[in-house]
Amino acid sequence: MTSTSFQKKSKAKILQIPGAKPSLYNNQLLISTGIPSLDSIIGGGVAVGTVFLLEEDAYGNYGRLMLKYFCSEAVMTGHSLHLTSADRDPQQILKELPAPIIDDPGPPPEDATNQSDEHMKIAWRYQHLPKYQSNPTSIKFGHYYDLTKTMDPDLTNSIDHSTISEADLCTCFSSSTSMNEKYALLLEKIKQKIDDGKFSTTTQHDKRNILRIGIHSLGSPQWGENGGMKGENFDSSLPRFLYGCRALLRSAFAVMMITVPSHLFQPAYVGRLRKLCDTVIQLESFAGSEKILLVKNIMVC
Amino acid sequence: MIGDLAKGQDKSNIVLIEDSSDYLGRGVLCSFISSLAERVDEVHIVCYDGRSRDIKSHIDVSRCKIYDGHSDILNWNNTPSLNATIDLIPFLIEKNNIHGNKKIAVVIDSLSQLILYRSASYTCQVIHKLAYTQCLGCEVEQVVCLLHEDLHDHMTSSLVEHTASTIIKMKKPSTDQHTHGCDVFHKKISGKITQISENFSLTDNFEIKDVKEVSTVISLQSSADDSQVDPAANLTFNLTLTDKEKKARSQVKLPYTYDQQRQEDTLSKSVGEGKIFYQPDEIDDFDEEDPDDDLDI
Amino acid sequence: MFLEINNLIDVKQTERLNGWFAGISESSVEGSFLVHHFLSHSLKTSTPVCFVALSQSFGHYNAISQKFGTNLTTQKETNKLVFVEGLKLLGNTCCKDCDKGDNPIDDKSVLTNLLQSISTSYKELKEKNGCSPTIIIDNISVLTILGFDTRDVITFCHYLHELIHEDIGEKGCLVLYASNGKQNGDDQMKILWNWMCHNCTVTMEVCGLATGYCKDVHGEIAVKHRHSLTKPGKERRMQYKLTDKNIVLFAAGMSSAVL
Repeated sequence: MTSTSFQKKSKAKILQIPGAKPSLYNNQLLISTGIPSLDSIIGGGVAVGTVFLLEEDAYGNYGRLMLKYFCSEAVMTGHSLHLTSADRDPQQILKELPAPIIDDPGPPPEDATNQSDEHMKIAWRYQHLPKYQSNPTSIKFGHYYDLTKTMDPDLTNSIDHSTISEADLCTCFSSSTSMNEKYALLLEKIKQKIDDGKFSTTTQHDKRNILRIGIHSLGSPQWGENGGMKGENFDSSLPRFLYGCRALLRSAFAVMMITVPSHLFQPAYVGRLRKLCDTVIQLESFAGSEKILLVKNIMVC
Repeated sequence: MIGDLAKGQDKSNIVLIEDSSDYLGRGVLCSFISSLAERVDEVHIVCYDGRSRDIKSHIDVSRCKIYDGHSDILNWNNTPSLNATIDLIPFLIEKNNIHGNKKIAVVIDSLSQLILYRSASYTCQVIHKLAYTQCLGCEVEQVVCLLHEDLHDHMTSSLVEHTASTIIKMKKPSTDQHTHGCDVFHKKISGKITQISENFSLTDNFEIKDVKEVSTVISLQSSADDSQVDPAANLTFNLTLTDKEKKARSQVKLPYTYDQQRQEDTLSKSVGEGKIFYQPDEIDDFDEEDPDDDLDI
Repeated sequence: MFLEINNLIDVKQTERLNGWFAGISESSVEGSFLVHHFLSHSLKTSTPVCFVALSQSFGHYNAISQKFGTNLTTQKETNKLVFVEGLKLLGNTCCKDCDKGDNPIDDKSVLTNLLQSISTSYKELKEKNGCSPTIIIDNISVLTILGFDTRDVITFCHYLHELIHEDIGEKGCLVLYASNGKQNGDDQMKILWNWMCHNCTVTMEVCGLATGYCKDVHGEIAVKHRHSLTKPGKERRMQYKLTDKNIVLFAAGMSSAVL
């Protein structure tokens, strides 16, 4: 076999991070939302380094549920999780995550003792390998969950997770005059988390992992938000927060999922928020069924 | 009307040209400038818009004085030229030494920049002062201004409109033969107000031609069309007649119509006395008997 | 660059866009492919570019430019491109804002500083390359969304327009990408877009189909040339479909999926 000088034009080295896969359409790294069918609608998953905006349904139930799926997926893939909520206690949300549906490996074979006697005549090189796959829940992309069961707290605690509750946001005395204080504090804490956990693309790290940041009901009155208005004009605090997040995430191995009660804002304001996020989905629920309106805006790369 | 206004045949102290991004008015402004250059001694053109540099490249400005107020509009570069932060009238007085005998005109392109950086009331006061007081040292024949109405709210536009004596609002021409359309509101000195809608075209020399008033009479053609509509069409039952039926219909003898035979019968029997001439139809049951005969009285 | 877009706006492949002030607007769909077109066209006609990215990171534009065969890193190194990372700059100002109370982001000084840096880069590029550069901004409406006063944003655009006309000789080119606010009734964005329509020499409005999403027709582009003072600009409207590396333009109703 003659060697050739032909070198395959290689793309940027694709990082192998558990729970993340490269996109089929471009060389972005994707992670799962925890709902495989949603992943397929949005092009395979959420791109690492982007902001995913979920516009809540009127009562916020399905928005919170989808955020829980996002958190459960963090547990299953071993990603780091950072959850914030001003409306609910984030620790409580973490206690209510849906449990994963684990593949049943089946009953062990009765004649297990005969295993070692069987000699392989041709494939003798593989003699020493175990017969069955030992890990039934091998880390893969996109898991299925059972809403009737809650996740085992030990499993939840096995990953690096942190929360920020409303109480944490109240202890701030930030002197920021032009941005809502709570957003300012949250942005600061996110930046800190990225730096401390070495999630930034500029820092060297041997074992790369993804940081999943979940923010529940951002922009609700509990955040000090007045329907997006400051007097007669739009309050630019929330847009600035989203912009600051975008700037942070573009150079970090992190994904942010935000649910927003957009029905509290004016359409023009919602339009502005959408422009600052990369993937936007609007939920509209009625009489038990869930209708999802996909509002594009996926980062074209 | 717009042609007359541009040529100066209709006197107007303050002419306001209001345009929008779809129907631009700078061409009409150039038309006014060209005409004024021939009628007055000096035309002073104050430019605040970036695009006003097009004026220089399109018309003969040898008899005009142009003030560049757009290159450094807020004086961020500290250049000595005109900008929006400097009061216009003192600036013009300083730059000129005008005596009482001259006749001048002032053109402002555009007021929108001035309103944006100062205020609507300041802008209105400036143009009022320019037009009606002899603040520059001589008589001002006319002040012509351009305003972009889609950059301001309705209230702001109405403040400026209130100050002007003529308002030309650019709009879509109603026919394909013309390139421009406008609504003109002209307040004469006598107090009379003229409102007119016109279509016109601009030549390459910025002359206004083919001015045609937009007629508001509704065309009568539509009523003529209605009579053509056949009422018997589009029905679920049949009201139409075949030719045979039409022929039969035309042959039916209608009562009381003129009939030669009936008339002769009638006239031949009368001899000057009133008589009743009764002519029974086919279906009448004519009985010669007296119906009172069977009465037993 | 897209050959079909050049045909649509009456530009030859090798033509430099001196004196052009192009305004691109988006409403219901994104028109950022036109930004990439102008970037690619300028670099291919050896026009230096000062690119101000307010919407995405450098990596994003580089990845897409490589589909056109242009490597932005190389262009930067050979002084053909100055890339202003607006997202990083302004985003960091948003973050720093939390630490201190001074220098809030909506202070005019942020815009004047940005303008100063663009002006310096423009002059440097002009000197090093001997020809007038193109300035491209994606997306100017971000400034409005972040809370800058519309008047300040208009002034910013005004000074950029003056910058490309500064020299008596060869004029530069300015390309601004904005949201026109028509979809959501955003008045401030509408005013900015109207200002651009009054000042641009050519405008390109990108919008989605009124009937909603379609796999084969991604949207419509309406192009209007605005340099004539005597004749109102004629509008050319075409529908388009984007593929991975190219764009297909066709008249309304003439999509290959329909015929």
